[in-house]
Amino acid sequence: MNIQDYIASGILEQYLMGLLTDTERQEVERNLAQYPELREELDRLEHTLESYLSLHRRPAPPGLDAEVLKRINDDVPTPPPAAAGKSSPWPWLLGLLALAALLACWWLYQQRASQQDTIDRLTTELAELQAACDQTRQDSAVLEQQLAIIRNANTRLVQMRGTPKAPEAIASVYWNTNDQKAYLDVISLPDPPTDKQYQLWAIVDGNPVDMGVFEVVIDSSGLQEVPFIANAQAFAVTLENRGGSTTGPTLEEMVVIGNVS
Amino acid sequence: MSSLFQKRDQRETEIVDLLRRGDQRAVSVIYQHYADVLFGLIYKIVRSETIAEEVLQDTLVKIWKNAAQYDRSKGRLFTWFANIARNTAIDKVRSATYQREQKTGSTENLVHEGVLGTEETQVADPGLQKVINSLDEKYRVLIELAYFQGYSQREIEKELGIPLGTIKSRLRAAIQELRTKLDNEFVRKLLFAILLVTLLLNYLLQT
Repeated sequence: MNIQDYIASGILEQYLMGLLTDTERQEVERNLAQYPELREELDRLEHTLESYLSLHRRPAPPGLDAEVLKRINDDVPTPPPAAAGKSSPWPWLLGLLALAALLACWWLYQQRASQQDTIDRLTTELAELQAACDQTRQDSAVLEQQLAIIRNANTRLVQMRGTPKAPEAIASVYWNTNDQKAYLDVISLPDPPTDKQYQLWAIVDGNPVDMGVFEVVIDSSGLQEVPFIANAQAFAVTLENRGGSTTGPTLEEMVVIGNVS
Repeated sequence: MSSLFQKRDQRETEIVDLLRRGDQRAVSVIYQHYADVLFGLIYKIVRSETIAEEVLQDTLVKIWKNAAQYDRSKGRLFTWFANIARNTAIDKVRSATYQREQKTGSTENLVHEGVLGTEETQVADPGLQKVINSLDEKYRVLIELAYFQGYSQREIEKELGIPLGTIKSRLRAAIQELRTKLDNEFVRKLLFAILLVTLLLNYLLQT
């Protein structure tokens, strides 16, 4: 770039007078930073302008600088109230939102807690019901099984009645010669002393045959399977020492007896 | 002449330092040294003492607030001050409030009459009057429109009916001529002062 031509073009004067577009102005500023001769020329032009403007001087009223300082210092603290006044709805609104959010949180927590309680209660209830249902199903299966035994056409019922020793006692034997199975049904027997146990006997041709000891089942869950003895003519229950008698029934301690009809 | 420039530049450096440090004394120093020039410039544009006072205050507040934007490499501090004053004043003149005030029967409606007419009624400084009178009319009008009225080149082109190229060369010539005239004026003042001092000394020595 030829500096003298550039200066002679009058672009610095345009720059000084504020006649350039932003792009042109930026270009001049770049050149000013690069070429000291341009800066010197501009300096001269600026001094001319200052001298020229100085000729237009007019006494300014004294004390305006104090006014300006007052305005500057008023401005400094003014922004905070202005800003606070302007933005005050925001902290207020934010506070409100925070409060609403907090309330919502608390409400949701309460909801969750009460729901958890319900869930816990229902879970327990369900477990209980499931257990009850299982038990019922089990009971029902046992009962069905027993009912099947009782309803079987080949099953015969032998009822054993109480002896004078225990007139209220009653028990039965279901007896199926086809299946070769026998079942004891304790309906009502007095509770035995702790050292004693009931023992079931079959009478075959006048001789007692051991059919095992048994416990009085209180829940009356029904039939207990006992050994099948062919050709039994009668059944009886005696009270024996715990473990049962191996030498034969103690006849004085007989509580029930029934004949096969 | 160069000693005057040195003095000006030294003063600017001091003020820039004060502004950089955020020292509020800068405002008073600026006021002390530049208030009259800036007030004269503003008054020339707004044509009202009251409005000019208002604009001068606004200008100083802007100078203080925008001090960080001043860039020495782009021009002298005074030019920056003058630009702020000029722009604030031109904005004021173009504002709706000013237009309204001027319409409602103010006696200060000289803006447009004074632009291209003679400056004799507005200039108090006889030195200025001399410079202005000696300045070619076509140059004076150009500086008037571009600087004091804030016209764009297109607006000047339209107003004066001269092409852009001519505006550029004429503007350069105008400022060159101004420089010569002002230098002459300064030299004349200097010679006058020397003469005066010499006469005074002579008189004192004689008595």
